[in-house]
Amino acid sequence: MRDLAWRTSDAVGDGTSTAILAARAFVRAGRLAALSGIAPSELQAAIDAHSTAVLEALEAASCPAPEAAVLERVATQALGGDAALGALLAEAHLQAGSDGMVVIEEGRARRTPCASTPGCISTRAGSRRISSTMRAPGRSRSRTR
Amino acid sequence: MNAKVVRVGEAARQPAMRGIDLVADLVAGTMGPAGRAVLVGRNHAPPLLLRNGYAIARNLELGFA
Repeated sequence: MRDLAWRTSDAVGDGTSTAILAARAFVRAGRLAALSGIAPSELQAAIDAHSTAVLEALEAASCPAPEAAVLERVATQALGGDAALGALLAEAHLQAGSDGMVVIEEGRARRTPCASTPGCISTRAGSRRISSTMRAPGRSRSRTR
Repeated sequence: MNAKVVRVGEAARQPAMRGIDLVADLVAGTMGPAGRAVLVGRNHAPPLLLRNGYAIARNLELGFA
């Protein structure tokens, strides 16, 4: 479960709780199937077929990155209802683009500045294309890719 | 050499299921906009309130069931 959460966190950066709950449901159903005498090889084929179907459905339901107004609402929700910070975070994401990286850092200042650094930054984890940094007062450090 | 604990069939699956259920139950409460945090105690440090599935799973260490 820890490995699953780590992989989700590494690849997506979010949805780790959802992944854990989905895995639990998966294991429960698999155990039930194994108990009721379904051959493991048959089970594997069925799981593959169903996961392909689910992935296709998700692909069909997905939409491209939303425009600024929608992005701002999402950002505000993610920040716990702070509209001013939400607008700033949406702006940071727009500056960074969909492939960019937004880093929120804890700051001690009274205002929340937002800085954008175009180009490639080499880090241990790999390279970021465009990064947009935001210093929020009294906010814990978190990263969004 | 350490002695191995051998379990077969359902007896092997049950302890694994217990662990999986424990993590999932802890994490379930943190879901959604109104999700609540999980309090994690640490050695020689103040406890943490976590709402991140990965952070909770990372902090969970269970003895051999």
